[in-house]
Amino acid sequence: MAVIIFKPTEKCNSNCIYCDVVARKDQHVVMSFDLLELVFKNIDEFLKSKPEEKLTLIWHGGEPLLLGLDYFKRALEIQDKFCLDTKQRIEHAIQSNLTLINQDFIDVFKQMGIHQIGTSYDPYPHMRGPGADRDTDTYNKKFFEGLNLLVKNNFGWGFIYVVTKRSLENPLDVFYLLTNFKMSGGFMMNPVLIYGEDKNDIAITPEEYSDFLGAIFPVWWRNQDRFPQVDPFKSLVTNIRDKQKSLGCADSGTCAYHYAYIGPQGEASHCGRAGDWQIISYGNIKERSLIDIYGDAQRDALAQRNDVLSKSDCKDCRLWYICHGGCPLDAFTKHQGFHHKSAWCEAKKGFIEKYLEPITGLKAEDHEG
Amino acid sequence: MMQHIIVCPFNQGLIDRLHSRQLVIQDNNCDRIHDITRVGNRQNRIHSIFLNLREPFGAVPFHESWKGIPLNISCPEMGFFKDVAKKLPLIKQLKLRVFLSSDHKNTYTQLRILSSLGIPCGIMFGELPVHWEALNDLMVYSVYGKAKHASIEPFQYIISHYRSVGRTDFSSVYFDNPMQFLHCSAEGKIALSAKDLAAGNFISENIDDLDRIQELPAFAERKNEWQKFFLKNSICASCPGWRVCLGKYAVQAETDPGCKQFYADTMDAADFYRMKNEKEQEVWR
Repeated sequence: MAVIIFKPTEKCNSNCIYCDVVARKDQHVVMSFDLLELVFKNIDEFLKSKPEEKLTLIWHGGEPLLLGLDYFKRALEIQDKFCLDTKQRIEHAIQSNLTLINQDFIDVFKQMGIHQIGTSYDPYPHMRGPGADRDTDTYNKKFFEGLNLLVKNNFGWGFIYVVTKRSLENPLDVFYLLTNFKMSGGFMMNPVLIYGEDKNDIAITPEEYSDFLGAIFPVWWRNQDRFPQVDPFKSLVTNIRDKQKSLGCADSGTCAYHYAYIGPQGEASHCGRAGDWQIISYGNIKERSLIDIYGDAQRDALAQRNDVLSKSDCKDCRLWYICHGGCPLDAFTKHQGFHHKSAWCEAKKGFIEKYLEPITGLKAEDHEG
Repeated sequence: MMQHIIVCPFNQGLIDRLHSRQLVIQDNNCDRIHDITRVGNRQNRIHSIFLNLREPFGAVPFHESWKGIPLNISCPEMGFFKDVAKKLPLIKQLKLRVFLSSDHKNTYTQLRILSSLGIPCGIMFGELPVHWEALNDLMVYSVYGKAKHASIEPFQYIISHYRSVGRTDFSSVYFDNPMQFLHCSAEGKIALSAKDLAAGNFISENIDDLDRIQELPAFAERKNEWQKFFLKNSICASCPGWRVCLGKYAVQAETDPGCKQFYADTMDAADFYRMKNEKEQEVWR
């Protein structure tokens, strides 16, 4: 499965405190329709060259709904025109802050085959919202209106909560709030990732993240009926107890040839994070085909990472099979190279050894052999 | 679309304007029970008669002819045990639930007595602060108690309606959940709750709107009222018991967070009840 993190615009109507796009990118560019056509022509060519392959186009931003309704309608027309034989193998997904969503958008998304939306949520004031002060009240009011519309249309939704220094004050309060907000689970608690200066004083260490999770985990473990799909708990337990491999992109060790990022001017990179941090450049879709982008030699360094790490940083690590050294981009931010483990490995290891294993009695063991 | 149950005063003119409805008819006079039954069942169906009485429960003049009539009676207190004991054989034949006010200092003990006598009962939250510890003890007795006893509300409602991944609104026990009940004034004005009715805060002043209430924006707003706790960043939003309390004690919680432990324990009790039932079903499968 090929996945393109697709950002026809990186404009945003919010100024979220932890967002790299807000901090780093020119937010005024919108991908032209000519370029959009070129992207779909490339997707068609790519899929024709790989008859068994499917492709997921994740509309991302910034806030993709700022593109406007007509942009999505036009994208569908372009897809119909240029991907006549391959469109059945194209899947659309979208990540939105929901503040601009309306019924018209939802109707178009249904036509695109989208029936669930990924979003993010932060209950605390001045973390998300428009303006320098981050007007949370306005933002959250719109967010809930959007959410109600999703529910009315039977759309699924999940969210990411970014764990910052502020979250550390009372982890259980955070957890109860998030689980009261989304009772059927379906959310992920990710650490804030800062590449560069921590201007807002929100960064946390891997150990702090581990302890944050550790403060919550016993409650989750005891009450899994109440809090079914809370990650990273659910996925870790699934991997360790149920021996079902369910790893995200950062931990799978297989990201080398699956992902691509295409930005508003056609710039290509490895994934959303690589694009946001401007760490890897695969050139521009105007000059290189998607086939070439997916075959870029720089990906080989990522592919070799498993071999290198299993003999160096991660040698003999019993958690290798659920971590694979973590996200190579995270490793790059610290070491300026991919062939190192991520600092967040320590968070995972710390959490498993200090909390998950003693509390559950489970033992993380490599079942790959 | 679900049809609401209508909560209204005993007013013949009003009730005759309603057709094919389920009614909760409120009154404060035991002597009118038969009239209420006759009028209420004429072209509608009585869901329950809710009597708000001033006398203690033991002083209520129960009568054989009340058998089969669904009655909810709210009293300030139980009264003398000997009075209740004397009427017990008849009371136990009635389709009755009695509510006692939480404002009375002995209510928690009295409810336990009534329950142990086999009389379905419940607590009616009053104006004074709730004694959370006593309420918790009563809940534990109601849910975990092994000696035979009748149900106590709102605990029974919570444990039997609780879904582990949803919100449970026990206002239904008091016929006050706008997703299930609508309140109607004698003039036919419609409110979403008893409090709204008392405050004159009507969602519609036209009784003919009863079937389209769910289409009104104010109804959708009320349906999503739970979200205000998140919008206002209320302490209730991060309470482990919020799913079954839904912020009903938000004001009190600011100074007395006793509700937090109580509702968290009640959720545990609900889980216990669910698991117990699942186990029993397994045995009989």
